[in-house]
Amino acid sequence: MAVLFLTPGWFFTYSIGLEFLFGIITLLVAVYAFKIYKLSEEKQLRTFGIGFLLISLSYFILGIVNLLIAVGFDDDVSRFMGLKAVYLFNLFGSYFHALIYILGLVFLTYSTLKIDNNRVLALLTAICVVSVYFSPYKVFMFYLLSTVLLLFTVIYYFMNYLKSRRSNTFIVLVAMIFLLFGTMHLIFAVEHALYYVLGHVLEAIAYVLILISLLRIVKHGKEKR
Amino acid sequence: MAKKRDRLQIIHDILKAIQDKNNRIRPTHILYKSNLSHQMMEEYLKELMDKGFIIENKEPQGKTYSLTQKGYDYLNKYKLIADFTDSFGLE
Repeated sequence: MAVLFLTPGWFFTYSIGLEFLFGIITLLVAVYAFKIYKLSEEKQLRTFGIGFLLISLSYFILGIVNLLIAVGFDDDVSRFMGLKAVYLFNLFGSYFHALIYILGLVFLTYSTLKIDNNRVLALLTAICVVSVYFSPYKVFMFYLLSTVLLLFTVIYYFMNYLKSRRSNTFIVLVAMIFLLFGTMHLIFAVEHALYYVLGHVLEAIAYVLILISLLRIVKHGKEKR
Repeated sequence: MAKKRDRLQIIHDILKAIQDKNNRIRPTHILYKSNLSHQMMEEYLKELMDKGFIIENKEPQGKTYSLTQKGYDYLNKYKLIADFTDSFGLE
């Protein structure tokens, strides 16, 4: 059987809350990206918005799967379905989350390439999906690919900060660095439960920083109107 | 803000120039106000018409350009657009 994560029991409920929080924050970013796309008609914004929408969807899927496992499948249900069925539900839920999340990251990374070529997008998607699907260590491969994509994104945001040294570009850069380290820690969550907690905490810091950045943009936008 | 004038800023400058001329401007005025080469200006005007930000009016004295509601919306929300794209590196 495949190993998913070693999740500390005390943290499981908190992790569900965090997954829904990540889903809401990334959904807000996606909604704003589409709003700005509607105003500016810049294709890059649409790609960025799709990326965050997919990431949001992936967190909601994970949150719902974990919530069902935590509260939906009580002892009677588990006995009726069988533990293996509950395990498979968790496994396929997690794989579905991974697939949607990696697609989101592909769109996000593609938006930073500043090109308009659907073949490149299709190639990136195919490489990532095929690598995860055929890997015997799917979770490890998923987080490894996520780390590579996020590393490219962090380098891009670092260059963006050098070009435009503003507090918001700095906040987004730091958020992406936290997201990168959070994902890197989740690679090791297969072996050590503490890394799962640490990965989630780092991700939480990243998404809160992204939320702060978004709120500053909205506030500033309203002030100047 | 980035020191180099980016695409969104150039679009803003063109739309602002049209607005400042009581929403009816000749291409020569746009060329003067936007500080672009003739070829670049033509490309931008085509893009703005394709996106529905401006319309071309054919008049006896020559063609002029006017803003559409979408063009006005872009100008009104430009700060929000620029802040978002700048923060998330989408320029």
